[in-house]
Amino acid sequence: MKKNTVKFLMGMLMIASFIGMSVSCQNKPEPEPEQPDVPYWDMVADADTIQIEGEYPVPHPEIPMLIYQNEVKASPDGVSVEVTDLTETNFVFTCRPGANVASYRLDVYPLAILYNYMLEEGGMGASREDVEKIIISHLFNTSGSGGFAFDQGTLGDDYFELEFDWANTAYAQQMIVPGCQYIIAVGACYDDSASEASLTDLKLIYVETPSKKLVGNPFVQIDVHTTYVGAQIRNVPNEDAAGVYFYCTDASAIDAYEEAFGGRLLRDFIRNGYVPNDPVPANDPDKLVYQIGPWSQVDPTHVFTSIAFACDANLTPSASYARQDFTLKEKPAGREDAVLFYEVGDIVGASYLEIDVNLGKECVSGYHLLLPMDYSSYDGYYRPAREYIEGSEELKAELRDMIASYGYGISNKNFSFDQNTQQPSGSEFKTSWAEYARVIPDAEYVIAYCGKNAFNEYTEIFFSEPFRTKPRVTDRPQDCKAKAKLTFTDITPSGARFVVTYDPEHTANVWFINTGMNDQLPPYSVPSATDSREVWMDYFFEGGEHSMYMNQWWRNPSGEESFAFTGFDPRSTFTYAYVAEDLDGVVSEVKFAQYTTGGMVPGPDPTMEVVPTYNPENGTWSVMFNSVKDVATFKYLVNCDDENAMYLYALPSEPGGASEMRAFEFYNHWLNKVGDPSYGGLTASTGYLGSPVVTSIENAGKDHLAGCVAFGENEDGEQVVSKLFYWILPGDGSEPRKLSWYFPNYTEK
Amino acid sequence: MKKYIFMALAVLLMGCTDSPVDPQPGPEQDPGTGQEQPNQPSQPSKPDADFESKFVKQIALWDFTGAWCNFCPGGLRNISFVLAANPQFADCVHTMAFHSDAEGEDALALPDGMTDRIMIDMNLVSFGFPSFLLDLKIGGTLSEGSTLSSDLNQIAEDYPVYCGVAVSSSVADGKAAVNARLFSEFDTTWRIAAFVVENKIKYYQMDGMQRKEDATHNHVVRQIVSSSYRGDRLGQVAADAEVSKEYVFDVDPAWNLDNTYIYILVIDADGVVNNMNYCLLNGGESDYILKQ
Repeated sequence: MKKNTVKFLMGMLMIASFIGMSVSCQNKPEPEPEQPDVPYWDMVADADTIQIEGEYPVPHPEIPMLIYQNEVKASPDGVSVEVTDLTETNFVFTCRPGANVASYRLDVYPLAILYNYMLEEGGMGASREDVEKIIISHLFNTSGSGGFAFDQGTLGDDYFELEFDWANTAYAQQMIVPGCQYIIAVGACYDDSASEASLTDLKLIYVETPSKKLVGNPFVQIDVHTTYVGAQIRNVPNEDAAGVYFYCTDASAIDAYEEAFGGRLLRDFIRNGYVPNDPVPANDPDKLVYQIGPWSQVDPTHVFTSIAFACDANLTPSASYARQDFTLKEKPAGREDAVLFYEVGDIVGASYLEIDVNLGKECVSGYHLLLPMDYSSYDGYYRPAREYIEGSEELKAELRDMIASYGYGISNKNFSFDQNTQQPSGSEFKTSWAEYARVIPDAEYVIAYCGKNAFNEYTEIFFSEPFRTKPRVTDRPQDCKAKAKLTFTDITPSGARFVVTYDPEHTANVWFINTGMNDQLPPYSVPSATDSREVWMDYFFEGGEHSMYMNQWWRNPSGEESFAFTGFDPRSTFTYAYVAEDLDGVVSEVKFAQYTTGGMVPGPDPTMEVVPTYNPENGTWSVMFNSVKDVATFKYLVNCDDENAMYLYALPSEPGGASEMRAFEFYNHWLNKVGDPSYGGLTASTGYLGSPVVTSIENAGKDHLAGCVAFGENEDGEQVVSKLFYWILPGDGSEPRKLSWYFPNYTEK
Repeated sequence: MKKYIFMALAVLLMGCTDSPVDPQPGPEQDPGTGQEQPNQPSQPSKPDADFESKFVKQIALWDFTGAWCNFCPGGLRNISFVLAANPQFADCVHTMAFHSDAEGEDALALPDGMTDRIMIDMNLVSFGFPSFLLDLKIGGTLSEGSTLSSDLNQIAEDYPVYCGVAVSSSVADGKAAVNARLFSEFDTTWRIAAFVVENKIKYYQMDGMQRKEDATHNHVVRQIVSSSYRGDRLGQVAADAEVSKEYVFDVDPAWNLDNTYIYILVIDADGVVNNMNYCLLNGGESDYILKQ
């Protein structure tokens, strides 16, 4: 008895322990996951993996991989995958992580793209371990386009069986195409980090989408037009083509890929090489033309390859593709460098100067920058010019390249090129260039320049003779020879045309600014009219970029500049302060000019007009709010119940019908929705006059309320608030209504 | 009979003097700091919620603004709308515009940064400009999202009136003489504050990004006549008793007397404006506003 009791008790103890463990698993903290001892890639190859033989074996004989077709049942350390549906443009699969898998990473790769990784990263001829390491590096790439991570903490119970309708998920970066081979890669991890460090198992599942029979014989012709510096490639599909795929790169890269993987995979590479990867419509010829280059230095023996093929309306690609190899035109021997010459012109002021430009007949264009001799450019990109002048050839070449890319360019308008002789056939071009932006008075400058010939070849960098700008004189306005005047014409409710007239023989620059721009913080806030000249001179000329509102117009031989400014409020007065600087650097007195925009005069009876228009094509209303008279400003709103409770649903369903609200309650509610500031302005905003405001409605088919409230002014200057001007807009597009339609006894205000 | 004798005695004791009469001894305090300890009545300082006054409550709406303030005209439009949409307030809410020059040029600002001091005292700084203060009690922004309409309703419901205010004023020899009367319907302490307010002042005003020259400014508080914006202490006033206070002060020549008013605010023991009245500074008079 005792013995049996002991045994029984031991048994009970064991059972109790087991139960205790089962129960306490819910109470105790989860034990730390343990990394398996054996790396998964040392496991013996599974008999369920596939090896597709034939012209295009899968996997490639030089890229050993363990691939399952459509389904794999993994160990507890891996993720089982089952493809449950497969169409030309999609596949659906389910992932079931094993008991020891706390998280996993997943992605889908077109086989053609995966093979390209192998070609580029040493996977060809590598061991299975190295091949899978390449795949893992892409799958677990967290800094680029890596795979997607899944864990129970994020997904809850869905984690244990998760279905991916791949083409319809957010994870699919490209469309799935017919007749294409894909690899679903799933990396299982023993902890919830989904990181490469905790990888325990990698599964590769092969999926091949079917394709419908090719309709017709779609194909593409390639037409290449080469120049010395690039090429234009035009793809011309036939009438059976619905879409076109094309690609152009070095011939050696194409040959390497085709030799390794064959034409079918090359075609699949091109079908998946872009995001998005939709084929270009065959009926859009403008999109079937593209350029490569221009390059300045190209080996004329370098071979490029252009590839193109078509697909039918089912996206089934043609079996073959067109290929055109080409080289760029060889530049003729004896071609000449561009010849050009820049020097400072006769006009050099304090903040304005002109440059004389002479481009020779071989010169297609010249490029230049005005650089201070002894300090860096204002933007910090360029060193003092003296450093380049006295610097190494490498430094000079660096400046030349920067100016060729970012300098001011001037085209030789007389340039032409004789295709027969391969020689320039035009003539020289002379012009003048004005410099006025950030030209500093009393500073030494030099012009750095280079040119380009017809073969896209740039000259070395050249430098003009250094020269000095004049000092600016701000304390002798009486000696200023510049006579500038600012006036305003074509005044409207929203702006005016600003006209600056001056004598070009003496005037270098005119600056003007709206004195009302008081939103700027000191020291950039605009001085007032009573401030001293010293304060104004400091504002106009000191402090660098002191105002984004400062306008500067430089010398124009015509002696007049004008520009229409808009966006101003109606019935508003604007005062501008302006100064002129003559060619000797002397600054004029500060002058002021003023204008008042037009517009409706506010009065005691502000009246609006609400004009709705229905668009039956999309079931939406557009509403124009028109100021009729006495309006200073107005608030308006177009809303349905979904956006903000308008109680439109509570209106009677027919005239005189029942409603839980009375007419005046609707009116007051809408009035407050439009005008009361407590509604936060989310649905109403203040419009300014000069032009009516049109608002379109996006909730098609719903009833809307379009309303506005206007503000006027009485003779004492007190604000007057109008009634609510409104229409109820039925969602079905029937006639707009007022409350009196629903409540026949209601008298509209 | 007894009642009238008591009232007569109260009037004799209070009088019409320049300085407040304190019917009960209390601690000496600097008037107008608002820091004084209220008298310690054994009875409540205000009537029950169901008290029916014979006076119509007038509400003081202080608008904190500035000529430099781009958004302030929008705030004024919001005031206009709320008063227009709530006609029950149209005749009994009186705007008083306190200008500040702390953030820009404004010749209409009260001197010595008084407007900003008021905003600091009343915890309105976080609302910025434009902002409002109702009856020295409830404040907020006047920009979009403003709760002005609901706050007006709250003031009207939660702070019922139990006094009447009357005022008369005249100007002679460059001086204004103002007589303010208070009729208390409850035995409690009161303060009285006086302000000069001028309408139709032409001065610039920023509106959005633009500057409007010669904009019309109304309800501009030109001067705080009482020793503080929180008023001068009137002391304990018995129920159904009337007291008065005189103010005599210099008239600023810049004021246009055709458009200048004296505003009298009466403030209860909790520091809340209970009622107010106003009249023209020069030859104006406004009696108690009684319910019909």
